[in-house]
Amino acid sequence: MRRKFVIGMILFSLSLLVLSGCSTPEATAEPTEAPPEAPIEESGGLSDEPVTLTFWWEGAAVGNLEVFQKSFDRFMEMHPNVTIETVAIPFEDMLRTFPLALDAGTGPDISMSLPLESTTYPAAQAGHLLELTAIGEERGWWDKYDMKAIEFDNRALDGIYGVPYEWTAVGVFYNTEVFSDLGLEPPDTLEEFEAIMETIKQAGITPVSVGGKDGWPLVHVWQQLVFTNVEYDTLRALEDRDPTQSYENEGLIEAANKVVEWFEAGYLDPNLLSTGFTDANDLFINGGTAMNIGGTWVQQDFRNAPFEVRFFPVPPMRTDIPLHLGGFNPANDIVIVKESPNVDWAIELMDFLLSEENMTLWWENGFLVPYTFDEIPPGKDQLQADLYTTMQANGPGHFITVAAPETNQLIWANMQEIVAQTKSPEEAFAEVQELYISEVSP
Amino acid sequence: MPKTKSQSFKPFLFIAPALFFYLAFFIWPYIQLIWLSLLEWNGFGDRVFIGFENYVDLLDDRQFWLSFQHNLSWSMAAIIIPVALGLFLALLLSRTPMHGKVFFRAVYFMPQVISSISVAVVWGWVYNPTFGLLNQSLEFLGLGFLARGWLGDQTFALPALFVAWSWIHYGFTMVIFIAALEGIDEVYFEVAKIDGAGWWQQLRYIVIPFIRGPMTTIVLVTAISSFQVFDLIFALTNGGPGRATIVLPLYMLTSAFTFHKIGYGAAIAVVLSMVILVFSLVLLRVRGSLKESSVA
Repeated sequence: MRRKFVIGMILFSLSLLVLSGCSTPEATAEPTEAPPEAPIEESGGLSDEPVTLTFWWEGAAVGNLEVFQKSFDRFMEMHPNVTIETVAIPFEDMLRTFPLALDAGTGPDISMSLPLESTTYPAAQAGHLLELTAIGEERGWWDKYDMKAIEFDNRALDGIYGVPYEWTAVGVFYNTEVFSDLGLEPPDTLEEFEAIMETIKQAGITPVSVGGKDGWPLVHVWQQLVFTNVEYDTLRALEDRDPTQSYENEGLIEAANKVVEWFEAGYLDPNLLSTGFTDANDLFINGGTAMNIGGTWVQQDFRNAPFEVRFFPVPPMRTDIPLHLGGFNPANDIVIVKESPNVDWAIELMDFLLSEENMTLWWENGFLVPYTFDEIPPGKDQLQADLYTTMQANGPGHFITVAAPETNQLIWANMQEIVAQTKSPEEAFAEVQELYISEVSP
Repeated sequence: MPKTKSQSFKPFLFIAPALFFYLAFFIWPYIQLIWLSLLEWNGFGDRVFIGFENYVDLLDDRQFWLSFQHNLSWSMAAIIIPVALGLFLALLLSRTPMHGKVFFRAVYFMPQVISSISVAVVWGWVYNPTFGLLNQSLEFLGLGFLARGWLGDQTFALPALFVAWSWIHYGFTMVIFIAALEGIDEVYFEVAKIDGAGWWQQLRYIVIPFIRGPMTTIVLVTAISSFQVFDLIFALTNGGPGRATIVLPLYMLTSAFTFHKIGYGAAIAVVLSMVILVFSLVLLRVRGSLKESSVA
């Protein structure tokens, strides 16, 4: 009897030991008062074994990556057994590398993914991305997140696979000192904008820098005009690859002619075709130009300028159609790779990235997060306020040149040829239309 | 005396390791490449066999023909300019009495050993429209009207890239020519001088016949590498502005990995390798006939 009792006690003690070993230190620790601003959350049921999560970052804007790093540092502080390794990959390299890595099973655990057909759609359809719909519902991710952004980036999929981390917009970043010296105010009409560019040019300063050598930044200038010269539904149909639509659209051609007109008038950097994205940004930051037509993803870098940078949208070409801010669009998606051996930790990281704490961190660092705060925290600066105000007045727009890689590249190349005047806009868009039709209705 | 079984087997034993690596790292991947070129595959998921459809599509692809045209003109220039420049420098550094020959040989050969991406960075600075050495020099010389954004100019971008590429390659041709020139017995030049032969006649009747063999080798190697040109263009212009500098290797990469048309990219790669093969065979044939004529 006594022997049975001893064995029973030993087994009971052992089972207690085993159970305590299974739970996390946080779960077994006495409840302590966490610091009010930095609560350490439980990592419910996850192993305490050292884990390395690989995160692939897409982008050329280093400033944004620094903000992400702050989030990762905070997550690693909360979970000391987790190390997050960030791999920064430029846009075109990401297009090349991501599919192959996923197919070879050597992809990251969690990653940025280029939206729509560029990467997110084919990767999700091939079963490489984890569907987040139910996980998000269970964890309350969608409660305060702006679902417009999520639906926008996942609209051709049967669920949610990618979550965009911020809204983005393209517009005019300007040097407030130059504007102040020349007595200029942000314009309301295209005529006023052209008058501003003329005044700046007369003052001996190049009005606008554009990294046209890289193709896509030049296309953004054109798209700004397109967005306010072509009806919203037409652009959405083009982005959704509707075969009844055409790139030989008068509005697209008029916008291209306007870019050429600005280039000829000396409003755009005369060397734009030999100036890349980074050089064009540096030219603006160093005072070489008074404005830069670019996307919100460069705002972190522009904050390093020795003058205050502010923002206004490109005024509309046509005032008879409802204003929809060009390119006001969700940013790249954050996705979880389904085959990741650390998928639970990747979900945990996503959970943190979408949390109120992190959304506040991103907001305070200037990101335009698609999140509904109960009370909007103080923003970073006036530049963020400009961007936020501009966005509030608009619904999502469409980047018609991110829909499909081959069409994109053809438009990029053709815009360069249009500006170099080796091809007319009519010829250029007839060629784009030929490719578009061959892709959407082969 | 008839060879024993082990004797006839021995040579194969010696070449076996090299043959193994050749089969494993060239022939087998090449067979896979041909197989890929017969598929439709976007890099994700299923691969669909479509026969020769990718090759048929190539015939009707303007970008492909434009890239091919750029490669062809690049190769034509490549078998003349770096070769002529290398020969000129070799003559200067081996047949001209001067101090510091070794130093200059090393300096001129230096670009050959620098990585292409570093060369691209250097030439990117040279051609920079704002602070670039070339435009600054033109301004300094009062030729500012010639200054331009070299790599953003549809007309000048490809020649500008070719200059950078030649800067890398002339060092190689120079070294081979120096070796060939130093193999010529000085007696030939002495006799020619006594007979009253000038610089041009010595070049025409002594130097050229002696370096004909190395020259065809140089032309062959340069032509092949000119068809493979990629890294410099990728780093400096990525095929732009527009499509002014697109070449086959770059188009292959873009098709396969940017447009997610892996099979199509593989078809371009197969065609490119065939073009190089044909080009090489033609040059080898020319080389053979030149050798025969020099022997005769």
